[in-house]
Amino acid sequence: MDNSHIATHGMMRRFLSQRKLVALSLLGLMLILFAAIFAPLIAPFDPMRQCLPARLQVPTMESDTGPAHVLGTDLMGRDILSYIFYGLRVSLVVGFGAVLVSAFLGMFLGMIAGYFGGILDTIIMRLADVQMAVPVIVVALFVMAIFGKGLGKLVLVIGVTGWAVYARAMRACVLSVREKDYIEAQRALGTSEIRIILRHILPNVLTPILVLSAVQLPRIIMLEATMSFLGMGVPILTPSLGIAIANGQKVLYSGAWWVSVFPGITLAAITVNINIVADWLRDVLDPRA
Amino acid sequence: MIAYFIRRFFQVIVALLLLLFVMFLMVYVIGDPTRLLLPPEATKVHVEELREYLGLNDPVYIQYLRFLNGALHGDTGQSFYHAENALQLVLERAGATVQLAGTAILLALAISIPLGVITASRRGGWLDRGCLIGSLIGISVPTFWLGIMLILIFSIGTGWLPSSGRGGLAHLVLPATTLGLYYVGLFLRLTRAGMLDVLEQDLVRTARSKGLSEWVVLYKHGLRNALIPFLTITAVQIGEVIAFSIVTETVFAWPGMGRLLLKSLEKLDYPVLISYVLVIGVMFAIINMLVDWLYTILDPRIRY
Repeated sequence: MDNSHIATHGMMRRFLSQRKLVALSLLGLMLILFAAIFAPLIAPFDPMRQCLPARLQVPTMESDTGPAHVLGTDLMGRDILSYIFYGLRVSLVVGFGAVLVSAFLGMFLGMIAGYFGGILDTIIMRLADVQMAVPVIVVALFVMAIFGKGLGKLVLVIGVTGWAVYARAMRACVLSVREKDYIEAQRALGTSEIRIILRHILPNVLTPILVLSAVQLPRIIMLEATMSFLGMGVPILTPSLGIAIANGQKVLYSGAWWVSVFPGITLAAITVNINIVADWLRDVLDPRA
Repeated sequence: MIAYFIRRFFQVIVALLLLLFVMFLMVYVIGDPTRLLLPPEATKVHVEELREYLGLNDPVYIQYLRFLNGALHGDTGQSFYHAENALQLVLERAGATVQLAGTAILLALAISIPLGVITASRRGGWLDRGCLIGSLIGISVPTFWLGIMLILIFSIGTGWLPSSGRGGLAHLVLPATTLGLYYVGLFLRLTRAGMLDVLEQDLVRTARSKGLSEWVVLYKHGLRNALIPFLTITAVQIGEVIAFSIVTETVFAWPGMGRLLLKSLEKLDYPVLISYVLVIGVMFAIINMLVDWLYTILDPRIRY
């Protein structure tokens, strides 16, 4: 799963030279971000307020009292649109949170491996090989089952298990700049190792890490939704798109298609847009492309 | 060659032993199954009896040796919930998972490789652009939601295909499509990128200048060389497919080991969890050895 970024370089370029698609995706992402941040202000209903008389209402623009259920309601009478606004928050918090954890952990370990080399390098990179051979979803399922559900735990588990790709990228970058003349010059000047790493190596490796983060983000968001769908992610009373889709499957046979369709479209919209922007970022920023 | 595979075999054994050790630590030392097995009103005496029965009161190393001895004899203990040997339980369901994952992979390969070759040879054409957008959507749509949408359209809407359970070929269509679609998108991108690299190389020019037909140039000379890096990634992906079949099996109530895993996770049925990891580990090892062997067929220069 982590290899697609190698293969797709340049693939979008012709297509994206028009830039229209990227502009559209960026606009879409801004809307999503806006909806997530201002969810309490723009949501017409309390997303968790159950209202059994209003259960499984068909999407409608009409309402006798107050705002309408534009995207319908679920089995508990909760407003789907409001639920989606709040679900976006969970998706983005887990996505960005886990990417940050993975990136910091991976950069730290990759830096050590690449800069100091030797036995540390061997141990860290072997661990990375093992980590990448084990599917993240299996590890995450086991850990969540044993330690219990929770938003913070989910961020931590997905974040910690995702370090290996960052460590590899970081190590490769550090190796390529470590022996450059300007680093040697700093060493000759007596600059401390820490200062060399922070001031002279780190700025050179941030771009590939940024690209990698953009590629990883939609996968993480999808993983959160998947875990929550399976009932092993965020707690049941946290609004998550994955939980919404799971609730939707339960009422599928009673004809209530809207309960699962709209949260799913939202989720797919997030990942498609981030994938498009990530492809574009890679083409623009990645020096290898 | 044979020496290589013997060496690999021992590496696999060491890896599996390590895996078992980690699993043992995780479930026997960290978790406590008694609080799950007994109702909350159970008395201390009952808890003690159960701990004694399950052997949880013995020193950790005794538990580990007992566990290891059992595992080496194909006995990972009895399931806490099903009155059956845990390994047996997993193996009974492994067939269904292998059938589902295998069909999904074959389906993905059968669609994506020809499309990847065609799009690479007609770069920038309408088919290329169409596939580009298609593959983007394929890797972006969440698997479980796709499954639900397929049920909505093909089971509930039209009634053409069954939406759950395992039976004839018809039962396989929707789950395999759901599981395979992501990989159609991914493999398409990989094949196309690999072909674009190969098509610029001298070997393709030589093949063309010999007057070979475009078909032979593309599929015999081009694809063969593009497949080598592709194979490495596919090997990793097969592991992912088996892992992600957990999701598909849940959506379609497919009686495979993924669904068993999820149910066992909810109840912390440790013997079953350990058996699952063991079976998956062995599967991965076999797949990787098969891939190593395939390399030598695709590229005779590779020797072990």
